[in-house]
Amino acid sequence: MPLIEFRNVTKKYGHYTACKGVNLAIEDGEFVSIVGQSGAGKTTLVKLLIAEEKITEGRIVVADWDITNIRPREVPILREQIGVVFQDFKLLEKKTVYENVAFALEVSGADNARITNVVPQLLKIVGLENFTNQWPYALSGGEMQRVAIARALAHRPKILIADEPTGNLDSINTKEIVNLLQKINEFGTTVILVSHNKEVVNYIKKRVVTMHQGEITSDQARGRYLL
Amino acid sequence: MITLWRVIKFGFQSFVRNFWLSLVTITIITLSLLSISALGAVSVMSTEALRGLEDKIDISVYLKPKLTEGQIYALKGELEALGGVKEVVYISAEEALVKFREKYQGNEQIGEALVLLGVNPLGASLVVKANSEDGYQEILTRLEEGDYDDIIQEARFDDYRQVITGINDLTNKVKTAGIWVSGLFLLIALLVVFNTMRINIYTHRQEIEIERLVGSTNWFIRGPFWVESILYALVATIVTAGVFYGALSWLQPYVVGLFNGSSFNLVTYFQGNWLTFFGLQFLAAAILNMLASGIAMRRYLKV
Repeated sequence: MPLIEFRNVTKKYGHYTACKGVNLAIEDGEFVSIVGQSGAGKTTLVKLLIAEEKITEGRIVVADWDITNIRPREVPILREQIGVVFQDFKLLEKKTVYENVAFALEVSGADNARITNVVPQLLKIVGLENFTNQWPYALSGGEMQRVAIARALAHRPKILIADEPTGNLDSINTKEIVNLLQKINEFGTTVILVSHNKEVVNYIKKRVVTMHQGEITSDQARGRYLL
Repeated sequence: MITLWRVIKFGFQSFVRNFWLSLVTITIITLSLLSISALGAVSVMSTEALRGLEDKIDISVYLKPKLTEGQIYALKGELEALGGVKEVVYISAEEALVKFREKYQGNEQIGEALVLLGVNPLGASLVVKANSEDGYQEILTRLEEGDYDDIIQEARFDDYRQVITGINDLTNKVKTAGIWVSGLFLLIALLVVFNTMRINIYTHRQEIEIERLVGSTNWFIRGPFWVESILYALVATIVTAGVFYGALSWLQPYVVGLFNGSSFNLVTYFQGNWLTFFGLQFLAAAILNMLASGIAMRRYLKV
């Protein structure tokens, strides 16, 4: 049984179809890159997976849980299982590195003992153990993305989605972030990388799913970004 | 429990961080509460003034001289039996003289005149109090029907009803104006709180987005906004209470003058009823704020 399964999923915004009959299965522990040009439907797929949007047709199953008609009060439970990072980092400017990571645990009701135990571990994983009291504005793009990754891992999610995580980074930081994502994947977390960066995808040498105009046009086990 | 504590903490943080926004909101709510408090003070003062006047209303029945005590007590009994009579007090000629002397203690001319007369010029009287304000005219009509012409020299009724009606009218007009002013302020407060929450939601949009992404519950996202709206009501009520007591202390000497030296004390009255008075105001303000916040969140906070 795959960890994530899209079964004939269609998403329409009025007359515009963002995803058209998508069938996709992702196994537990996989590293999958979803690639495609702007408007290909990659981000829509991510939004459907984290229940940010409702699907028009089809079914989505995550860890044996059919989230097709997920109830609003169940969404937080789903989102604890799926960590997400974005191109623009989404860090809180008025919180330090430590507080940004701790925030994810605070808002979901974790007690202080757990927070003081987990946050330093996460910062160590992303290599920012010496940056705890730094403010986001004092960090480089790569460091900010690491903080975002640490925060996304706060609930020890089964899945980590990285939506264009290197879009704002230079080549050195890009490589570091990709290496970090691979390291996280090696620890057992399923990683979904959404990108249109050829170099990044081809460097990883893992499964590549290509989308075009809302449809999956190719799915290669050790693929390359050919478009 | 820890979640509730964090919701309160986040609410406090937002309240402090948006200091100027909070200040404006609190000022408007305070103005609304102050106008309601002023209305309350006017109401208490008018009630007290009316009670004082109602106490003064009575019918003085002046009796003809040379009546025996037996005749007087017989008349007293008859009057007490009349419908609408609350009580009848007998004041003898001697008691009337004592009261007269007390009243004009400093007036040398009156003192000398009484000495010159050598006899008590005042007669006995009966003071009749009715059960209700409307009962006096009925009693007076009954006394003037002729049955008591041999006994009663004069029945006098100091009619305060016009004054009472005047005070009632004035009070009602002040209350009506007060209700309109308070209503207007409340409406403005409601709109200001609504707008404050809208701005708050906007300034916290990134925080809210992250909260949603990392699995925060709707309750946790909305909670701090509820806390903040209650805080506005609480601080506004405290400020109102401070300003109100300050104003009352300043007004109290004038109130004593208004009540003709009465022992009525506005400050003491409101100190005795502060929990009800300000508790209700806080409750009303909190409910209204939460209503405005609820509408703002429903409209602008998508969770």
